[in-house]
Amino acid sequence: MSGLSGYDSEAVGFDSVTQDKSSLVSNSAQTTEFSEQGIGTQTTMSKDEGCVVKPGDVNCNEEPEIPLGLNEFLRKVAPAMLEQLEQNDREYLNDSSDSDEEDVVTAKLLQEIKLKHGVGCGDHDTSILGVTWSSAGNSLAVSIGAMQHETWCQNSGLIKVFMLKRSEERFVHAMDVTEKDCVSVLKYHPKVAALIAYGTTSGEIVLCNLRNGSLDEGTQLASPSGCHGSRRVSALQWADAPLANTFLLMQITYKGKRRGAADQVLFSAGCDGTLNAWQVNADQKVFENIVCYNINGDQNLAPDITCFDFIASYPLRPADEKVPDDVFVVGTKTGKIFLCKIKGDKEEVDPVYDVLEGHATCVLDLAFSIQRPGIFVSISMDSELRVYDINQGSPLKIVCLDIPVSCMSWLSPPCVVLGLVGCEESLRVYNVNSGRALPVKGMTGCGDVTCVAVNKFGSSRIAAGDSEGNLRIWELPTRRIKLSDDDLDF
Amino acid sequence: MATEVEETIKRIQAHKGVMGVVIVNHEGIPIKSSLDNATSVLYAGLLGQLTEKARNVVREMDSTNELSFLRVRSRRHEILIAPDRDFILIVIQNTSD
Repeated sequence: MSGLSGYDSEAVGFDSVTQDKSSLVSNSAQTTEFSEQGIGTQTTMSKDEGCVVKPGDVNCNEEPEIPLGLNEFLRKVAPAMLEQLEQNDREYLNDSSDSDEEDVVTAKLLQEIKLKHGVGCGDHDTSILGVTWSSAGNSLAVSIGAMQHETWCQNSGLIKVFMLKRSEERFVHAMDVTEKDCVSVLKYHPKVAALIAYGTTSGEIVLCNLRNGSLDEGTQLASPSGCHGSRRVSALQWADAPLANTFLLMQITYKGKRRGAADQVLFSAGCDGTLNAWQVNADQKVFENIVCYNINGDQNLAPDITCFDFIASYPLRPADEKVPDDVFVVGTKTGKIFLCKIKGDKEEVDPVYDVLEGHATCVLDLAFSIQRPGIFVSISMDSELRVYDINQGSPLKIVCLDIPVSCMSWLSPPCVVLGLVGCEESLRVYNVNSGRALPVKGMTGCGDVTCVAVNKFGSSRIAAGDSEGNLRIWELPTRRIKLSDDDLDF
Repeated sequence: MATEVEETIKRIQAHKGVMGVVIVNHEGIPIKSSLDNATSVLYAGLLGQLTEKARNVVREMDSTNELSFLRVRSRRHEILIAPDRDFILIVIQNTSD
């Protein structure tokens, strides 16, 4: 109405015909109306331009009109939209780690050593009882003996040491260590190269330094006789530096014994329910008992210890995530798991302060996570994998496995590698956080796996021995195992 | 002018899993769509309401704040919504691939 010209001046009293605008609107509600007034006509023309889509008869793609401001709008929001889509792409890529094909990690069998025929096994029963890696991953020691003894051990034990031949990238037999009884467990020191300790079925613990590539005369150090009630040594562990410091200080405080700079601390557990801490030094010929723990001794029910582990120290954790660093757990043949505290004020003390809701049957192995304070994983003979927190009596997670298991080792949290029994697969990798087996191919074999050890020096190498005397070494590209943020926090 | 709009829509559609792009005006009418009309109207109507609701929620919580993006993830799809004063850009992505 504002565009009136001179011609319109007399139109004030003109009998204009009112026009019903709606009559010209061809579409119901979806209109944008533009009004245009022609000069001198005084009629109102309505033009409906707003009908963009009417379901069923208008094709959006064919609409040539571009509403005002649409380009500006798209320029504004398109980058954000594309960014979100790209973010989605990345998420799907991560999610796709759960799908079948592309995520299968293949383990490469580096070497298979048959100890049954050849390699001078003689009349030894050729089950592999234990396997251990040296700190640098260039040596592998294997104990060979009988899995079962009817009364007491009448076999002689044998440890075979294999060294890595760099030129051929394979392990070659380097030396043998013989023992009068079967060697039930053996462990290389995690830091000191060539320092190995082993325990026998008669309760003896022996320390060897193989640094010259051979076992020199007089370099073996044995524990005092009668140790572990002359019964089988079931587990061994070397203390890391903070833990060794704690025990060596204990030795100074309570026994007034001096410590050498190179002294190490070794723990041994036996079937008689005792756990010993030893101050050892291969060079100085030191092999002294620091403390002997009688597990559950106050109840006069000595358990048959099958495994134990000391909590790892977590010095860089924030205060709210701090956990006691003087705790260790002990697994037993009955399935009980004892929570114990380090004590050293008196001899033969019972360190147990709590008993966790344990397994129904024999605890085969347990190990603390090196990443999550206070969390440990245990496996049992009834094919259960449990995740515990030391601050909680009941398990955080119970994973029922569909296959019998025999042994376990942390691969890298949250993944553990399990030794299997009675199936074509030898090993299986489990994500403890999700409770699922990871798709890993290539870790197959025929015998029942009896022991497994992981070396993470460089690449992850897994050595597993079986009941038929086969030692297999795989290389597993663990970096290709896809983990979620949640897994990485575990 | 049309080319720029079409180009932008094509660029978005080229992304993996994108099933459809709909641009809705402030009245809730789909003005551009790569989907069929019925689906476009359906998405425009439902998501227009949802966006308005979300916009109000954000403003209710903090009157100085403004909704900038909305993602609705379901088992099969993810709907990404970029709202503005006059238009809403809706992208439907297939997540089950």
